[in-house]
Amino acid sequence: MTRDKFSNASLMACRIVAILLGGYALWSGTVVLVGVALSSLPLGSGDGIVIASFLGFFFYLGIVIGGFAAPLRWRPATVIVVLGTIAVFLALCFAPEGITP
Amino acid sequence: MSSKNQPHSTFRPSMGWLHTWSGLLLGTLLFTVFFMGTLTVFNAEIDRWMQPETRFSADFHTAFNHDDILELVGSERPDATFSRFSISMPEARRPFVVVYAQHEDGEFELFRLDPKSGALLPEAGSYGGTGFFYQMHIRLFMPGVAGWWIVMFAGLAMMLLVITGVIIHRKIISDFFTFRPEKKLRRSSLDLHNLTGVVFLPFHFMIALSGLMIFSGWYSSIFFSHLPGESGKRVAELLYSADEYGVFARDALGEPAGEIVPVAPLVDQAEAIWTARYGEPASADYVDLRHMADANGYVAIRRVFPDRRVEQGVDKIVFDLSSGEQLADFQPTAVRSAQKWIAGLHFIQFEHWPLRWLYFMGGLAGCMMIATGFIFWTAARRKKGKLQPFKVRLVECISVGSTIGVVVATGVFLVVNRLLPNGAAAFGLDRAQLEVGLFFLAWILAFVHAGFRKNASWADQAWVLAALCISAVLLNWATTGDHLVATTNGRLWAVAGVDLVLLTSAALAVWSASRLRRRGRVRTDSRMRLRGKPVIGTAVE
Repeated sequence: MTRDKFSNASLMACRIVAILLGGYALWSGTVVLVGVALSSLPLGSGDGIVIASFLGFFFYLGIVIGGFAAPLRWRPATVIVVLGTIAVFLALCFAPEGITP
Repeated sequence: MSSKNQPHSTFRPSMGWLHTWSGLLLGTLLFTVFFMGTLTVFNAEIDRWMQPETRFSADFHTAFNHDDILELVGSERPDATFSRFSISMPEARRPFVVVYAQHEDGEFELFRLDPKSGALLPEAGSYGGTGFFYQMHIRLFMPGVAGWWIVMFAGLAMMLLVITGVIIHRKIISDFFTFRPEKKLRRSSLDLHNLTGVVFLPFHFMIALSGLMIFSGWYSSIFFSHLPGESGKRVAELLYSADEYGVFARDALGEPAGEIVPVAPLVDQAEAIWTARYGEPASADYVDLRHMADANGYVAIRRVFPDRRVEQGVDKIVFDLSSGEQLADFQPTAVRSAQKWIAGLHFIQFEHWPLRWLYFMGGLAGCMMIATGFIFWTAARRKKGKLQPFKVRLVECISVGSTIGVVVATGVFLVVNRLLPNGAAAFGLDRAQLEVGLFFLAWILAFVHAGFRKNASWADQAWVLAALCISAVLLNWATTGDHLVATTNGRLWAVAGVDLVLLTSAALAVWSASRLRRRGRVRTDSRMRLRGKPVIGTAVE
């Protein structure tokens, strides 16, 4: 493998990992935030999290498909990682008080 | 990035790239999970085939109640002190009593009781379908949480492949009606890949989504539990407790229990509550006694699969073991019921045999879809001459080992089950562990064989599979006396069904192997003609 090829392959691997892991962070954070929002509704115990988790799968698939739909440049991967970090930060701030166990 | 490896700049080709590479990289994992899931559809029937001591007649009704069962198990181990008992009463697909008893040191012991006499059944000596195929399906038989994680990833990948597969197919309706087996391998394998993908599309989507839904809250909670600091762990706990609705936990008090109340009347009481609540007869199918020797002991009575309908139950009533006082009564909410219904679609514990067979067919179609995806990729690359022979050979070796190799290893698992004598042990492994060890050894050998024999390994392994399937049926007859006529006369449908599926598999394997051999011969003849050498053998196609 030439040096250029190796460099390209490792860059592509980094971007793929960024999309998958950043997407996972965004998925988890968003599930908690949506769960918190739904917990304010008159639902049964833990129902908000169940609904949020159900929607979460499709959200994650959307992130991955969206992330790979564009050519593998850095922009989509970066956006996903930044949004994921924000979602996790907000979840840590709001969740302990917001979720009905 | 070189243009060769660069994903395309428009949506559909990008999805094609994602579909191809995720399928190729995860194909082995997906096939294993799918194939093991397909076998798990009939896990109870495979259990009865692999554990002949459980081949009771269809009449599973027992004269024993839960207190009798506790006494029977207690009399088997008079010196032991148990802290926990979980009791599953007999049912149509598993016509014997199952008791998991936990010793005070935390070790579990399995007891299986004859539903009529109450006699303890001998040690199984095999993990069977539930202990091995099911465990491979849900966690690849790996310790810890790693296996769960990998299978979850496979589930997400399956959904991704289904969605991207739909996006990249322009002619989804014509795919429904197109299969040209007489065409070249590249074309016919793509036809079959599309056909199985399109016809069973709703099944593939449903089975991947319902599998993921079973532990829906767990995935996010794991993420937060690994974050540094206390906040993450607190969020994880909240997510987990929300996900585990219906879990009742009370720690042991550390004081010895007095006389515990009889359990059977508590079961009757719980059933009466459910009957009044739902307006139809309800019965408990799982009873769990915790901290039995402690003053804080309690019993949880559940309807896990109410009346063998699709929905997985949340109904659970908890009683104090010292006083008989009711401690908790969990009822499903509308959202929970919906979630448990989707999970129930995956567990397939409902009483509907045609639907169960359709699940089996859907699972096999999924396996075929994954296998033909592999074959198409290799055939297309070989045709275009895009890859070095070594790379094509590597992918072909992985394809063979990942698909037919797993099936051959399963055949070895069944044959070994009938060959090993009771109580067999070697290399520090007991009989059940030896079965599993030989499964993995056979699987590894399938990869090695594919590496040496290249394209011919498909036919070779198909012949081996046919031989294994026939051997398994004959060995079952020889070791238990249960041949097909005896099992059908004795209404042992579980055993007869497994035998029939094995014989059908053998016939299909022979047909495939002979077709593959003919194709191989034709290709060799064509090459020789091109080189101007004399042709040996008959060209069939």
